[in-house]
Amino acid sequence: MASKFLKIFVIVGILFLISFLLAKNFNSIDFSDKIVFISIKGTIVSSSSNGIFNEQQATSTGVISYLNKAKNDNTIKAVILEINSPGGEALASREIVEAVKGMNKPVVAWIRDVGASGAYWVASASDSIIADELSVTGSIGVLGSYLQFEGLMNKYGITYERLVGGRYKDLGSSYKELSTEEREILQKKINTIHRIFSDDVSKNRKKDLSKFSNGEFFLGIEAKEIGLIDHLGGKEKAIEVSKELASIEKARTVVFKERKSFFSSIDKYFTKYSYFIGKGISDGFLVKNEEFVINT
Amino acid sequence: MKLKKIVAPVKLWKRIVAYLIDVIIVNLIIVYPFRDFFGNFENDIIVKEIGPEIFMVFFIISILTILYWALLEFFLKQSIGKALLNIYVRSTEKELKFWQCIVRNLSKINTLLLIIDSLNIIFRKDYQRYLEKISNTEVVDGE
Repeated sequence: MASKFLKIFVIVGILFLISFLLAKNFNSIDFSDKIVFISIKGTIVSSSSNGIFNEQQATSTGVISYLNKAKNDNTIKAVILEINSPGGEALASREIVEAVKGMNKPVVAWIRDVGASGAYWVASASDSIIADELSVTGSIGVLGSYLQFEGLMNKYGITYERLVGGRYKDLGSSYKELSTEEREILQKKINTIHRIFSDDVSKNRKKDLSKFSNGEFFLGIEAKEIGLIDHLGGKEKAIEVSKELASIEKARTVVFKERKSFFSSIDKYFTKYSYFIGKGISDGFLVKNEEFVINT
Repeated sequence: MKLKKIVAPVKLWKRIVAYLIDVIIVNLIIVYPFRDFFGNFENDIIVKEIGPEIFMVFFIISILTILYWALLEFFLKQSIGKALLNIYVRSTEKELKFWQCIVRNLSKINTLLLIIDSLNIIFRKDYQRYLEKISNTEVVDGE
């Protein structure tokens, strides 16, 4: 019995000693001085649509939440916004811009394939912008175009019954043509948004960029020449610039990712596959009827 | 140590309780020393991507965990949990060898792996886990 306890003691003791010595080695690793990558991918929106076709969206609430986490974490010395977005909603973009401006540490925007329109607006608020020569950026403009179906409806005898309280209530409706007066009203609003966007970008970049705020997009190499971005390069350049701005020599790079629960992942897949199962079943029930074929 | 003649396989509850006791001990002697390392990572909705250190730490913990069971079962035919429940490991062939102790405990690095390994006991009412069949070992009652 005594020898049994001795053997247990020796084996457990040796394992504990090995664990303790190795842990001492790992516990002393310095995890301070981090640079965090915050991703802005897809269309910028204020809230996600939860649809199965809308996979790539960057919600302003999500991005701002990560920016706030980075702001409150003293071990994070700089933030790199990894941008791959064509822009999106004006207000959502503006919300992120304000959050970037309110950061208490350097923010570097790294534009990948696309960082245009609202996404460029966000980038302009950062301390430095890096893009590849072939990245697409700029597009400082506002888009309010939409499809208008009045002609098509008339062709098939479909009418739009207009019942409104307030004559501009259906302003921008797809079912009727814009009147001259309505067009002027909409255009004025678009111009206002454009002016706010353009002025803010010029202010952020500390140079007059009104000449380039005509909605034109620019390749990275062009953007560098006209002052829309600061450096040409990729991830390594972004990290290098972040370290310079944060005055640190070494840093670990980390990312923020939302940890999905098991049930939310299951829910997402069930939603997707339920849609396709339903589509398959309904396709089987479709009856081809010559009367409804549209002849072009 | 004298082993009773086997009348029936060791009851599943004994094995579960023995395992839980061993898990507590493994956490104390192997995982707990790394508490400062794990303390660097916040446990909320944010997951941080880090370098190779965490993989190294999980690898070390896994190896030491397997060694805990393998060494005790090889030298004493039982881990601490098994000792408290008076159950033993033995080879179904001749002498218990070290490789048998290693193989039979490979699934203990992860709870899910262990559950899968134990499906044989749960659903087929067999007395051996899959790895026990592979390693030709079994758990028996003893005096």
